[in-house]
Amino acid sequence: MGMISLLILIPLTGAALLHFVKNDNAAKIFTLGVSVVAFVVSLVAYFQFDPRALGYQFQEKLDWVAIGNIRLSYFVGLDGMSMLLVLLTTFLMVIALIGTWNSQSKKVSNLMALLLLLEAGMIGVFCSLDLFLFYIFWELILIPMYFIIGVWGGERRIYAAVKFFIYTLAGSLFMLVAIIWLGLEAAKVGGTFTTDLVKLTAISHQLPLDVQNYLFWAFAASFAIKVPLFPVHTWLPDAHVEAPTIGSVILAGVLLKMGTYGLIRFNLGLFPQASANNASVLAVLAVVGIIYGALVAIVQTDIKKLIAYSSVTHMGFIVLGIFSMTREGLQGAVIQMVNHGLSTGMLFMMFGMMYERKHTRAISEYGGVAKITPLFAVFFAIAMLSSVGLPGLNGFVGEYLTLMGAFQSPVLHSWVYSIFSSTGVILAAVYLLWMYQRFMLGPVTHEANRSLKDLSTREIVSLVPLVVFMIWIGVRPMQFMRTSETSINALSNSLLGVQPEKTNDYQVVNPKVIVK
Amino acid sequence: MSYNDFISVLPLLVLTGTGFLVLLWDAFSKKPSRAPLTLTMLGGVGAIAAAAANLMNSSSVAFGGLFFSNSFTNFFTIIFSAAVILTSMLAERYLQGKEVITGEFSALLIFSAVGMVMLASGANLIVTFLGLETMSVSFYVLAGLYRTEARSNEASLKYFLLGAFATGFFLYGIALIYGCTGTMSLVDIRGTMAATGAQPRIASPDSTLLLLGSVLLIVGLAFKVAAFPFHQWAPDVYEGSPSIVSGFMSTAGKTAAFASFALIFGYALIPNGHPHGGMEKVQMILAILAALSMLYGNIVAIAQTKIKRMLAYSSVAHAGYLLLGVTALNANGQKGIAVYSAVYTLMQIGAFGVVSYLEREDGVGLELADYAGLSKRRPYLALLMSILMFSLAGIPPFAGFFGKYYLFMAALDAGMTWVVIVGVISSIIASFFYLRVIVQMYFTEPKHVTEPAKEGFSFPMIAVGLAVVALLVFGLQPSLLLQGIGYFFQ
Repeated sequence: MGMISLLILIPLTGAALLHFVKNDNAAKIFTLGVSVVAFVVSLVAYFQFDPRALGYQFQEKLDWVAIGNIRLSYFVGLDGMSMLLVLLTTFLMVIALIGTWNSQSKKVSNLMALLLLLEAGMIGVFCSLDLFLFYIFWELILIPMYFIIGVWGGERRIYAAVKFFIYTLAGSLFMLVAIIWLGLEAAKVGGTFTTDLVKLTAISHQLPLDVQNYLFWAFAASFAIKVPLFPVHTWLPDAHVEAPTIGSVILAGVLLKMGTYGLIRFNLGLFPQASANNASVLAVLAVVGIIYGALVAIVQTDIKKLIAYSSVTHMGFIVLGIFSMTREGLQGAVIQMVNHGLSTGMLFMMFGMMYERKHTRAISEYGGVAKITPLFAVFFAIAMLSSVGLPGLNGFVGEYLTLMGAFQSPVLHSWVYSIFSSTGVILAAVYLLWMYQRFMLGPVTHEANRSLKDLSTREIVSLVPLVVFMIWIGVRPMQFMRTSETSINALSNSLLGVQPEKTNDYQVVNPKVIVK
Repeated sequence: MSYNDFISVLPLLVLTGTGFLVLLWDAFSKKPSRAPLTLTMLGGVGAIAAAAANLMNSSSVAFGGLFFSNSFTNFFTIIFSAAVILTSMLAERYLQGKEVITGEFSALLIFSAVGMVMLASGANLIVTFLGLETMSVSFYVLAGLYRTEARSNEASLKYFLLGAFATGFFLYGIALIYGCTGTMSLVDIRGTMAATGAQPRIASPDSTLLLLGSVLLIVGLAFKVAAFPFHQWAPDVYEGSPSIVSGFMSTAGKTAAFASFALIFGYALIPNGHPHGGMEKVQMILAILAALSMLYGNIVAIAQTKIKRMLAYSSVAHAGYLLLGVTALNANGQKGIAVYSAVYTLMQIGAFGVVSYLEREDGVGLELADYAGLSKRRPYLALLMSILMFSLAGIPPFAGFFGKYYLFMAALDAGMTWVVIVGVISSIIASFFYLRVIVQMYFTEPKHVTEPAKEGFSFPMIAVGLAVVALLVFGLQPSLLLQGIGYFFQ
């Protein structure tokens, strides 16, 4: 069995075995063990991974459905970008499990099984090289997340869970139509119906341009909802606020990346021309999202909601980087995907720790907490500053690259995007620092808070690795970018020279013709 | 008539024989027993075996062109027989304590299946008509099986009166088609349509007659599959009938009508998926019916608070999905109909099985609110039900998804993109009410605190379990299903 199948099967088997583990503690220990094994396997894969090699590595291909002219296959493989995201997934699983160890007490073994199912689905999404298989994994994630929010969530969990499910399903059904349509179009060009990503990449640019445009939008709709891009972001704050801590961490840390991953892999990879034509539309939405998300975040009184809206902003930067269609922008987007996973994941997790102690999400219920729990304050400050994009920490590198990409983008043709989105950086400082101030600094406003306990050893253990990576990426980003460099370069080379199609709208009409 | 003729229709003979045997047994036995049901299951198994043996038969015609016997008909025969078996398994307990004679029930079940097989194998419009009536008459009685309950009586009467109308339409359609083409044999009609194209046997005014005839046939069949706007009977009938009967009617009955749809339109009137001679209009009519059924069924299902009515309206929508396959009129469409029928039969019988199980065991289960907190009371039943709901909503990796995939593919291939878009939108709507059942079962607290019930292994549970396992297997390995279908008339 190949490395990737192993990576998918480990959590899947773990989830199945959890059915027999009824004891809560045993279930947690078992799940932690399974996710550590998965993490170790992904590390082994990382060390075997050759960052300089072109194409997909660890490829596995099995015929799955072969009837008539329809061939679907189980086809998986990794390139640099997916490698980073798989590592992020397996790493965050371990961290999130340790970090939220005591936060759930009901039906723990069910929750753990769903988490492992989620992990298998996420790894599958990042490794699928067959669009059909990708779709299956993509949808597979819906079910466990739906239950995690719906069963273990807060008061309005049902509303949030259903909204999450229907929003995502709406997008993905259009993707399904696009996948079938693309396969049928490929049959016209290449002979047989196929959903093989490698084959499709080779022939998709031969399709009629209007078909490319339609397909581009069908895929973009699905991914934009997952990212989530303004104006289809409204499910996110609800889902984040209502989800249990570990759900929020996985949702922000990994799930949202599926959207931006899809935009890079499928929209840019399959339809470069259509991407160039429509880049400005998506970039505008991204910039609107950056500013809108930040403005809404400023006025939030609920910490979880604030972090959720900050996600809208941060994901906007990633989308902007992607649709700059430059090497810098794409590289920035990929590293920012990892960064956002680390910093927002850590923010959610740390707030979850505080929530366990105090059971309220209102900022006004805190104040001056830094005096009582100094360790908590320090770690929270690091996560917050990483999210703000302080130079020396990871967030800075990504945001800088995406902005630079947008600035010199050949398809966006304008520095306006960078200027406007830069205000997002400033606004991020406003809402995050202000939140930190109200939360942590100043005098202790609630006497009851004096009894808050500082971080436990277990909590510190879960946070230290995150901080290490934040600083590591901030100081030596090249080490991480090298992994995805080759695949991003190959992609950006294929995009090179692609220009938005010239429309006739602005052509100067010969006045003589009109006058006659 | 030759030995081969009988071999070709062996599944039909097995089913008919079983039906008579059950009736005889019932006439001679003194006290009620479970024997008729057991016999029915055995008959179903026998029919499956016979059909499976015939499955790889390349197209053959029996009794001088009256019956088809090929992979298509045999595949559908297997679906009907499986539905009979599952329904009898569910009936085992469900009928206990009700004033229902199991022998009567079993015989009617089998005879309706005989009608279905005739529908799926009729190579002559008269055989199709006979099949339609054999099936329908059995259904009319089955719907009124609870003879002491007013609701059941009402369902039966309503079904019968409206069904009689549909029969009239269908028969009139046959007459017109005969008038135009001079034949009732599907093979000959196909030949005429393929050879002369725009000109049927008699000159030009007949393309109008042909169109009219086709429309009347569509009306007759659309009534049987409960497609919008011919669905009005369905919610009342499904609600009033015993749950297991509703499950059987809304799946196997529908599937049979769809098999006939595929034969009459896909094979005979519009050969090779190239409509001509006014048939483009028929294709458009079918597409519009499909679109309206999907939207209407799903939108109205949202408003339902009774689970059987919800399933009834959603079955209108599923008829719409299947009509997509008819509309496409290509090989993928035929495959799509076959795959989706099989899968839909499993899902819907499973769902009605859960409903009937709860109805029987807990005395509740007809209202959506009865499902509140079911995951605490009956975790396994809740799990089975949620898989059925996810599958009905078309979420992978369950088989419902593959069915939809095929139908969408067929319609896209035929260039009917707009209907697919309607299908997608209605699927999103549908997910809402399927999820609601899961929300009830898992996310809401039960109204009364009840002890977790013991979930023993009983026939009904096994039947639902079998359906769910099949959905999982076909979902993960759709080739199994697809290989069974083989190639239809190629």
